[in-house]
Amino acid sequence: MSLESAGGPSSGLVLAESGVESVTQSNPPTPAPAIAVATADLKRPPGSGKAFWRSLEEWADTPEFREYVAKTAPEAAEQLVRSEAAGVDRRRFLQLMAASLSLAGLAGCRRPSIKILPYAKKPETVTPGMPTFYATSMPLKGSAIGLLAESHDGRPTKIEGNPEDPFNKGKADLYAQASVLSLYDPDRSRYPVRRAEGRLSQTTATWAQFDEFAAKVAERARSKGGQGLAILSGTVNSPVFDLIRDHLSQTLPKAVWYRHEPIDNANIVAGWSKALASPALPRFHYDRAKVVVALDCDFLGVEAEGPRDLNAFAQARRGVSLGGTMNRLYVVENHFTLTGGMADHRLRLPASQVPDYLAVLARRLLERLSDGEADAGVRAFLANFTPTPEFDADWAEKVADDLLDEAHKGRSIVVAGRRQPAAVHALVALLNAKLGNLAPETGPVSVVAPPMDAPDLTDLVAAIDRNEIETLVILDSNPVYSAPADLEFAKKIGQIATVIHIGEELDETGKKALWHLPMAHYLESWGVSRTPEGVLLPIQPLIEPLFNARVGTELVAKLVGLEPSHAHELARAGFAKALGLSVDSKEFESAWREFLHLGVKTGIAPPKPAPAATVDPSNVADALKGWSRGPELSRLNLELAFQRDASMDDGRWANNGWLQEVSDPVTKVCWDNCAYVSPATARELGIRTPTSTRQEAELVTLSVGDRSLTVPMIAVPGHADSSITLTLGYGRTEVGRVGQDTGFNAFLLRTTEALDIIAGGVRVERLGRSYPLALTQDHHPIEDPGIAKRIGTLVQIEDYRTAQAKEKAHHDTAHGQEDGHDQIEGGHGADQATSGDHGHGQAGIGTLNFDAGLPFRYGNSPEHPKFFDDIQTQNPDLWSGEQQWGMAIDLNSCVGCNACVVACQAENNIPIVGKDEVIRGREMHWIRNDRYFTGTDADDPGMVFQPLPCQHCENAPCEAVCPVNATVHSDEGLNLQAYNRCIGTRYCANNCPYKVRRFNWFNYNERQLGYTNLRWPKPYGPLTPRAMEETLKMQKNPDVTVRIRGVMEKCSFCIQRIERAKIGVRGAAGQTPGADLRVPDGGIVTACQQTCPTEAIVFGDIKDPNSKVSKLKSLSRDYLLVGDINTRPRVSYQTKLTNPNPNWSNAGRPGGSSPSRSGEGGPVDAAPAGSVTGLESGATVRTADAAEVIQR
Amino acid sequence: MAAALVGLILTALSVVGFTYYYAMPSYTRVGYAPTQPVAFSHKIHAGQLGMDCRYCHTHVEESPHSNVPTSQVCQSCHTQIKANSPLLAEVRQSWATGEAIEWERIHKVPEYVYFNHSIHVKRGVSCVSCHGKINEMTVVYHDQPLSMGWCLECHRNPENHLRPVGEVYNLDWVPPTGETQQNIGKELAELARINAPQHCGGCHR
Repeated sequence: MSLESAGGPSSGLVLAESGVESVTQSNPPTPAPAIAVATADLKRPPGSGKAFWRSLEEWADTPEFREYVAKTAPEAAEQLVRSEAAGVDRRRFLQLMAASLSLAGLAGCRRPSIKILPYAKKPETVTPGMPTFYATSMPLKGSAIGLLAESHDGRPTKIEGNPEDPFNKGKADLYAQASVLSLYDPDRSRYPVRRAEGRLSQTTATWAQFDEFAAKVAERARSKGGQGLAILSGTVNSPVFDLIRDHLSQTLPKAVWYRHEPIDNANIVAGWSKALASPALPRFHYDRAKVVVALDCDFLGVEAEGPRDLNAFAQARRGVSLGGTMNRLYVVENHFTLTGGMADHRLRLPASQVPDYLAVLARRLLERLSDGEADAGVRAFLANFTPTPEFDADWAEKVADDLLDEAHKGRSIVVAGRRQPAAVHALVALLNAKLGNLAPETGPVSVVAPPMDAPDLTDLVAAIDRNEIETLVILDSNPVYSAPADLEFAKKIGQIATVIHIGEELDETGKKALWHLPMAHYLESWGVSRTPEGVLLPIQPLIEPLFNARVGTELVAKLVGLEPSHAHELARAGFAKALGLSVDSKEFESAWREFLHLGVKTGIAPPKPAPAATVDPSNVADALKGWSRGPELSRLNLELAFQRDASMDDGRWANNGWLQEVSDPVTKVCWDNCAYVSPATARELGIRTPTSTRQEAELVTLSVGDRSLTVPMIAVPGHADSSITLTLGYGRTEVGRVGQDTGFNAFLLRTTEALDIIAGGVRVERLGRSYPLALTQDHHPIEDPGIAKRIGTLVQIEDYRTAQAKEKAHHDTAHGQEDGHDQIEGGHGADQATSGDHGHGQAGIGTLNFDAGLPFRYGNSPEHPKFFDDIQTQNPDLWSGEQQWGMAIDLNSCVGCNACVVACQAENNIPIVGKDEVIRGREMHWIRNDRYFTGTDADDPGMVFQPLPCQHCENAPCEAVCPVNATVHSDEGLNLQAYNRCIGTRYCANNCPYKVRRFNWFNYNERQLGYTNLRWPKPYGPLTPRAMEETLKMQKNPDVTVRIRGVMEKCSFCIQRIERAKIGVRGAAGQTPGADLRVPDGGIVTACQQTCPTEAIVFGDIKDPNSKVSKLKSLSRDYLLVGDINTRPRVSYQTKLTNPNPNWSNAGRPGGSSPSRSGEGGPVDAAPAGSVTGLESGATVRTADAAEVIQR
Repeated sequence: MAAALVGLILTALSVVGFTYYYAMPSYTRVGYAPTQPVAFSHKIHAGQLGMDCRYCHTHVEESPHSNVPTSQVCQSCHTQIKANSPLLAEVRQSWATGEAIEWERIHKVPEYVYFNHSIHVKRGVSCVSCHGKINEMTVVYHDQPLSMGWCLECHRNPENHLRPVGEVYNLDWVPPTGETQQNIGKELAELARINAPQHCGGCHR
């Protein structure tokens, strides 16, 4: 079928043409006809078009797209089958099924004998059927996240954050959540592997053989004082490694430890160390900053080190940590990142031109902050600096003024990303110092000593070239894959006599090594990890190594001759040393026990003391020497910026199915990586955009010098012009079944001269071929009928001052004489003692008085003035339960990190479906993160995220249509799904307006992706072997059904956790008369809520006016998703707030002139017309009035 | 025509009747009494010796499962009592080697049903209601159908099976003279606010 060219000049985008051949066809591709592209189409007059759009196709609003949306279950359509994956269509499937049915007989009438196998001797702490939680931690490039791992019958099944972790506060990011699957990865290496003398192939060996070999290595090393021995690892920070390094310096002083971290903060350390004249690593406390200026720094996304910065930032965003004010975020970046999505002001600049911006800003700041002679050198340099890019002068003026504002003194952060050169960081250090941000104890910026100081890969290669390396031990690192391409590490490694690789999988490096040793996963290991601040976190095993593996530190200890080498002993010894106690002492035993129980030990100074936080401007001036202005970029001279991938990191997670399938939060690409450019640049290059019906991206060749790489390329709204972003971590060759053929290896373009940004000289050549790309951005569209009237009930964004004024008005009317409750939000935050009763049942605005004390606001919409009253009389059972469950999701807190998606997948046994099925829209995630672009400028939009679980509608459209009553409503407000009753008509999914229902089109659990016959083109066909890998079964949560094909599923509000809590409370109450059987607020946390780093999701009892969720729902910012269709969802959202600079009219605000919909710049309309919030629509609060209300 | 119709109706009725009687858990499950690897007699232990159920089924009050006892529990007495009895050879071997004894499972609800023991025994439903008079069984047999309809009967009318929590493990308890099960049950249900779930999510997750 051919797609009509999308409407001629009015749409203006080049959408994918059916004339473009797909990759696998053998006949030469016919060049696609050129499409005339009008020039002004990426911008619209304010107020026109859709306020929120998820893709450029939706922006263009082509007839094909409207048809796609109207097809309420596009995932069912057969014409979406891609041509080359002919596979099994419906007719063929029935034929095959009929054939197999004739072979099946009656299964046998005898009841099968089932055995019960109790323990012979049960361990004391185990209660069969109840999970046990152990404190552990996941080490993370020189830091660690404290975790609680949930273990069912000795199998870890779920990871949660450890609330005792002082930085991460009980949250976990998506890597920690997905790491449990990596534990059970059947493609992990299972045996030591070695290459015999003079042979090319590797054979399996035994640990005994390795032990022998290790003894020889240790002996030889000792005899030579360590000469020729090198150890290569990632960034490690642990008392155990300190022990090993101490041993090395004592017994093997000539041995060298190298560090290879492909995605590294070396530039940051170099810059700050220079500025402070001593080794330094900055730590940012975003909760203390009222103004944050982020320069190419995605601290909420790919530069995050676990959940800590997200949590801190969200505290400031909600005003909790700043005494009620909201922080302000300025972002200058090239790719549209999560941080850019939260920005109040955003400037798009290519990454190599960001330093130019900093120079202008710094000049402006130092003019006012100068203290005379000391920084003369810096000021002189800046005065003579001419920036390359042109940007509004306000960007320097207004930002500088905001930073210099009295109210923000010493309460700001200027941060630059890891890709920026060291000179930038040195200057950033100086600015922070001048702004007073480095105040000890209270400042938003502090410094610690860098955790690991070691020569890097370049030095190692130089040593190899000098023939100095005889034995190389590689610990948990994959340099053959991730080393800079010009080092040619794969060849160099062949020059070393003995290479020993210790890793979890037989990866690219393992294949080249003499010995490969399976390394234990952190959930199987003993150890101690440490954060740069010195906080110690234990690593304790929850299970014996599954695959015959050994802990990495143990193997290294063996190889260097450290005794005792057992990991448990090493961990204890390391901890004892850090505490200054003897391992044999009683004090140590009790400290160790407490350490393992609590999961954290604070108060121990890090091994290297923190440097003094004073910046020497002359050092900074020195660092700036040689800093030249950024390159002039254009279509013919593009920059290429490498970025850490949001799910793959540097490639270590390539075989993790959950991370492969969770789509990049901004670009919504999964199972692949892609080159990203701005729509304008795409238009210049003539790149076609994938569409919902043709999910194919165009292949291009990126050439830099004499290196080139073929990658797909798509346009990402909000990306900077003349810049290309390419994420690392894909295209691995030696990887398990899941990671095969995923993506393109960007490391091939990465050289030591330009590790992060190739500032110009990149050429793009279109190949005229396309590549199928799994893009989830248009999946599950929420149809917005009558769009003109109902704009804005999808997502709402408000100016923070407007919201405050509204909230105050809302409270005043509700409470009469209330005063001072002008906080943004009433529910979060530590001390809300005074805001105790926000339950305005009787006199509330827009509430209904059916149940006194109920703060929920279901307004009767103008279209249905008596609907709620009717539903109340018709369904009295609806509210009969003692507790009513509901959820509040704060769009102002959600940054889009996707931790909730992976947590839900882990908790609820959600399968992965693979790239083909994702292209069909069949991904199974119960909660998805919808990303909307906002505004009238497709090149420079705003962004807002909306996590969307099942809304548990009281008036659920899905319940009414199930022919077998498989989906019903509980008396506590949950929309239930009985899997055993479902026969798979999918009528419920058809009817769901939010598209939250997921159907098991195939037996995704048992017929595994790639874990079956790889030759079969369709992994789920009826003739493939039907078996889940044993180890993957172990990960499944036993409290949740594992669903088979043909069954509908959806978010259940973690009903297993709800019931567990209720059983706990009622069981404890027993038969005590009159006992309170309600689960206290906070007793039930859903999986998504528990892991959300920013605490955006809150679940609880909405019948209780004092519960956190009720307080959030009582805010005026609260609204129901497309609530005017009267589904009465139990999930409500709080609007996203923006805090634009009041002294800056409208330039640089995401979304062009306005983030939501108003025509003029300045204050945004308070409530959009037609939305059901129970408030007067169209009220506009002028800034002046708002200013009166706020006394700040 | 008429004869064919009558024949058809009779066939349909007999199929339905056959299914209704023979294909229901009340027929297929009730009476199942498999032979166990160790000839353990509840009649001796729980009946004659009067041991509390929880001595062996230790986690019934905390866990969804009422666990079958470990060999360690058996050996806590049988290292001294009948220490060399051939009937206990399996137990001694399991204790020595650490291998589990492979008991035949009798009571099993389908895997999509998440039954929780602890809430039942904590709230006043005795072992007897579902498992029958275990203390009179030499060989345990499946006493009640444990079908969904059967469970719902009690969930809808808990007064038929509630008893004071102190008497849950007293399998011989009968309502004291002058009282009926219904009266006692109703009173307990009211006082303790027993609200057994009748929505699907109560058991199906």
